[in-house]
Amino acid sequence: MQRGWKAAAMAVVLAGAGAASAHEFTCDKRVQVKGEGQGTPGEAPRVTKFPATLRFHYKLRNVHPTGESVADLVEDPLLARYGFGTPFPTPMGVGVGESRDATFELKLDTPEACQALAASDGRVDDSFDSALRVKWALGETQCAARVTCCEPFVDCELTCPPDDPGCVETPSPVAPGPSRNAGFFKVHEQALQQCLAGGGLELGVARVESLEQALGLLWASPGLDRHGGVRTETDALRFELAREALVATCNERLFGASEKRGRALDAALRTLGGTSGETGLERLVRELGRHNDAGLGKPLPGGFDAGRATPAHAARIAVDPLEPGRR
Amino acid sequence: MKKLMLSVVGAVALGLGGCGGASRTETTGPGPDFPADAQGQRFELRLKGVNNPGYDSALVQVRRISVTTVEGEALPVRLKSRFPMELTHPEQAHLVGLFLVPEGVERVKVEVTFDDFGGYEASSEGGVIDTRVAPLRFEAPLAYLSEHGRAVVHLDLKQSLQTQGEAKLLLPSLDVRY
Repeated sequence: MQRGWKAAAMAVVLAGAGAASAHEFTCDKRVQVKGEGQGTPGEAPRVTKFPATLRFHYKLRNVHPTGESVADLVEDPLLARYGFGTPFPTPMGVGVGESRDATFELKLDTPEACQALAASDGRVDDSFDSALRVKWALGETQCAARVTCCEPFVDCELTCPPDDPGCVETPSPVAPGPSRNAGFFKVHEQALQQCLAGGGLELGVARVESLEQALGLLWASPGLDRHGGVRTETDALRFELAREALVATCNERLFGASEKRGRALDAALRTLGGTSGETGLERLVRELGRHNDAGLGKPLPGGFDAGRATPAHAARIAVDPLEPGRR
Repeated sequence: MKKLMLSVVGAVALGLGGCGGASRTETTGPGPDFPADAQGQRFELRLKGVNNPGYDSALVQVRRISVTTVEGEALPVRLKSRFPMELTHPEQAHLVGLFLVPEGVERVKVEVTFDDFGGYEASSEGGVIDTRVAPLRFEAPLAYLSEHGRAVVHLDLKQSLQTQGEAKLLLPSLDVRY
C-alpha cells in the first residue's frame, strides 16, 4: 500500500487552480449558543439547555487583489427549511478589501428539536454541520460550522418539558471506563502493536495477525477492495464492522472489559463469522462505534504508553487483509 | 500481492496537465469503470489541499461519492481513491472518482462522504483528523465541468482543520474550481 499510494501521489499532479478569476471570495461561518458561555476553546459549541438560541454569523470577504468580486448566489441550504436560505441578497458585488456580514438566530425548544436539526445534515450523529455556499463565476466557495446537541437523559441540563409535571428525570448512566476509537488506533502504531501482542484476531472477513494487516483494516478504503474493485454496500459495511470489532477488541485487551461493549462485540463477531445473518449491519457498526467512542475523554490507565502519532508511516505500511469474496 | 496493487495503482494514476490543459481520462483498473450500457460525458472529481499552515502530513480517505441531477436522479459514479490522500502535497489533486452525465443535464449535485478518520503530523505533534462530518456537497454546472473535464475541490487546510482536544475536526472550508 505504501509504495502504491506514493506512486499515485507522484503521478497525479495538477498544477494551480485555474486562470486568475475576476471573482475571489473567502468566507467564515461561526455558530454560538446564546447563554451557554464560550465552552471549550477550539471545540464546537454544545447545546445543553433548552429552550436554546443558536446564533449563526457569516462573513464574506473579497480577496481579489485588484477587482470587485460578484457573488451570484449565497446560500446556507440546510437552514433554508428554518427560514434562512439566503444570508445575502444576490447578485452582490463586494469591493476590493471589503467584506459583508450577516447573522441568523434559530430557536430550539427541546433536545428533540436539536436532534432533528442534527439529523438533517445527512449524517447520523449528535452534531449539525452546515455550510455557507458562495457561488461566483467559474467557482464556488464554502465554509462550515458545527454545533453539537446534548444527548437527552445523558448530558442535557433539562430533559423534562416544563409543562409536564408527570415527567421524571432519568439519572445519568454509569460512566464508562476509558476507550479509544478507530482514529486513535489508526495513528498510534505502538498501541495497536500492544493490542496484537494478545494474539491474532479472527474477524470473519479476515484474520488479522500483523501490525500491517491491522493498520490495513483501519486505513484501507471501505468502498474499494485491495484490487481497486468496488465493494458492494454490504461488503463495505462488513469491512466497517470488522474495523470496529478490531478496535473494540483492542479496547477490551488494553483498557479493560465493558459489559455493554462486550455484548455488542460478540454480536458483531457472530455476524462477521456468518452465524447470525447479515441484517442490521449498519446498526451494529454504529453501536460498536458508539461503545468505542464512549470512554474517549477518560485518561488511559497509568503506565500505558500509546507512543507518538505516526499516521503517515502507519498508512504507508498498511496492507488490506480482506480477500475479496471471503465470507 | 503488493506488486499487483502497485501495478494497478500505477496504471490508474495518470498525470494531468496544468490548469487549462486538457484532462485525461482514466480507463485502467480492475475492470471497466462503468457498465457497458452506461452513457454520458465522463468527468473527474479531484481533491487537493491548499493553504497548508505547516502540516507535514494530512491524510484523509473518502468513503463514497454520489452525483445526482438537480431533480435527484442518481448518475453513474466510480470511486477511485483507494488510498489515503495526502493533502499537504501542494501541486497534487487526487482523483477521488469519476462520474457520467447524460446529455441534456445542465447541472449536477455532487456529494463526497469521508471515511471516519484521517491523521495529521506537524513538527511537534500528530494525531487524528476526525472526518465524521456531514458530506461535502456542491453543485456543478455542466458548462464549467466541460471546460477541463473535472471539478477540483480545494480544501483549505488552515481553516478546515479545527482543533478538538488532541484531534483535528475537519469542517470543510473549500473552493470548487473547474
